[in-house]
Amino acid sequence: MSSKDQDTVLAVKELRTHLFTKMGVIKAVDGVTFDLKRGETLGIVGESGSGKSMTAMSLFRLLPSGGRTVSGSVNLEGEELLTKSESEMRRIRGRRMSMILQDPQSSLDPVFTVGAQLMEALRIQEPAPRKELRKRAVDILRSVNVADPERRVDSYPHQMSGGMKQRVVGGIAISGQPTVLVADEPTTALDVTIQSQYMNLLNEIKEATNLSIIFITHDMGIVASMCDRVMVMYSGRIVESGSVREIFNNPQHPYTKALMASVPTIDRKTERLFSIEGTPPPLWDLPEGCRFAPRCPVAMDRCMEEYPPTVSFVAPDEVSHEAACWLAGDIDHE
Amino acid sequence: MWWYLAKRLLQSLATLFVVSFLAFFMSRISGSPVDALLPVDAGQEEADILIAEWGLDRPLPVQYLTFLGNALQGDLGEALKWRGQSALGLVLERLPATMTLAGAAILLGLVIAVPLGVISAVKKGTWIDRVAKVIALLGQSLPEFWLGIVLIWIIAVNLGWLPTSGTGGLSHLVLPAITLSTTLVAAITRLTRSAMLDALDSEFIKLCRVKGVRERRIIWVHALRNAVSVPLTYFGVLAGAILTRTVVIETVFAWPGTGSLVIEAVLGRDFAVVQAAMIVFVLVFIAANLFVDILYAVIDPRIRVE
Ligand SMILES: Nc1ncnc2c1ncn2[C@@H]1O[C@H](COP(=O)(O)OP(=O)(O)O)[C@@H](O)[C@H]1O
Ligand code: SF4
Ligand SMILES: [Mg+2]
Repeated sequence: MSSKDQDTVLAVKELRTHLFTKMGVIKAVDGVTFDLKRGETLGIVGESGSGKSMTAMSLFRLLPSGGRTVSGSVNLEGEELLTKSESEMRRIRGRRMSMILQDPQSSLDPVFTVGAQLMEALRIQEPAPRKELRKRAVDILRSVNVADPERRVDSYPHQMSGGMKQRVVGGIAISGQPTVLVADEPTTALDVTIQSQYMNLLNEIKEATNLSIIFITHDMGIVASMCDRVMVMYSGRIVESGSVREIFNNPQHPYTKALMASVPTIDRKTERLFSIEGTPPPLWDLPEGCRFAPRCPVAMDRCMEEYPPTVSFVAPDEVSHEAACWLAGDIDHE
Repeated sequence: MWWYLAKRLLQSLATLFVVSFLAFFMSRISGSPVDALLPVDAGQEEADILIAEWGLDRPLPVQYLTFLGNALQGDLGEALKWRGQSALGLVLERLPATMTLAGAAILLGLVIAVPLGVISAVKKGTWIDRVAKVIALLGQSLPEFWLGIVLIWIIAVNLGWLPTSGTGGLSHLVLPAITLSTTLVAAITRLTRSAMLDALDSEFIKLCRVKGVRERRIIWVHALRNAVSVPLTYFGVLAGAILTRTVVIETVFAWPGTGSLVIEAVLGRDFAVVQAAMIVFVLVFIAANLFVDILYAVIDPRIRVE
């Protein structure tokens, strides 16, 4: 009963975020439901454009212009976030919920020192004299393994390597001792050795602080090494979710199976991450039935007409395993 | 940084040399000053005396070298039209008026254009943005002398709110400064707007929001400080355009600056004064650009290290 003992820190229900554009309404997030437990790392995987980042930004209520969360619920430790005012949200961001963005090259402000940017975050959380803030900034840099933090605190982002910048961003993210950390493809822009160093760092931080992490990636290898549970996202929906072991050993959804088949083995850099034929349907013109149907090797007539229900399986480790596919149940009965 | 400034200084010297060359030969192309200096009924003899006195009989390269040698010692020769006065002295005497006008126009331009550009970027697509776009378009397309005359006609002549021309007090400065600032406002508004749109769209702004930074601080500190280097870069170029435009504006408003002096000198074929004015303008232009370079390095740390 391990997972049920842990308390839920974040509960997302039927989240729908649409982008109102000239082309039409893009249903970037279209009914996403999940729970995040304390100390858990939950992976979200899926092709680019499947709505992973929009899901994350919806949690923070930081959507691009034209974007609006039209329905659903985001509950952080018992508090509904979707009805909070902007100033209430600002007090939640950075303190209780934090985020690491994808591109370390551009996620720091080039005209301020990294120390100034860390101190800015610290000051927002709790005003303190400059000297005190600076000391804490140095401590944070040290905690994210930035060498020579006393000197580095006065460096500008362009004087640092990509890996170091991303560690600073990680430092900023944990500076407010958040409950939930969202990491949106934090290592995609880094090379492989730096990648594994960074993931070790995140794991250390997680161990030390009992942080709950949502780890967005399209790399199944990272999922295997980082996550407890994983959700597979396709065209704005979760098509399968379960423990990492279950998803790897017993994938139910044809899309997940295809993802597994394309897990890169030797050289991550050259391998195409997704070797599935075709592209996802346009989000402003979704098919009525299963969104994967046009690409699904085992699609039936029914798949084109009706969206499949979500089927639950009893997994050996008792972590709920769900898949949205007309065939998922049948496979289970085999 | 110092190396960078030294390099810029050297470039400036080269520019100055080229300009002195152009100034010298161009003012000779426009016609002989002798015709302008002498009364219409003057004879050849009087002309010869004048030519000898001014060294106009020597070959042009020699004249140029003499001019350059003197120029290096700060002597740009004697004015031809205003007998007995040094050309440089005349130009410098009129320079404060021009600098006041240009300074007022720049200040006015920045005070209007930077906030306008920022706000229209933040409120992209709203009526404020559209108004800003119209202002920028008008500022860009209305000829300045025309605008100047219209302003004089409406505000000074018909309404009588401000003096039509001349100097004396702030009220005389308002109309010419507004007129001179229009193209600047247009350019800086557009540049600030697009640079702000880029800045606001960047990842570090997203990170600021994730950190919980207030929107006002995000716009006016983080985004603007990143965006401002774009209009600043253009500002060096604009400084030259403003200086050239003072010539027209000063004439329209009878503003007693270097610009109107240049017109008088050109009409009087006083090449010494024209040369001196060109060189002083270029010096001012170079100084403005150097200032911009320093400001640029202060604002953007990436420049400092290069
Ligand atoms: N700023 C934006 N403006 C318009 N559409 C966007 C914007 N950001 C994302 N989208 C659209 O939303 C959908 C989901 O994007 P995203 O959440 O970024 O996908 P992922 O992170 O999984 O790659 C995509 O179809 C994308 O085109
Ligand atoms: S519902 Fe049908 S089309 Fe969709 S994944 Fe399952 S089998 Fe394929
Ligand atoms: Mg993304």
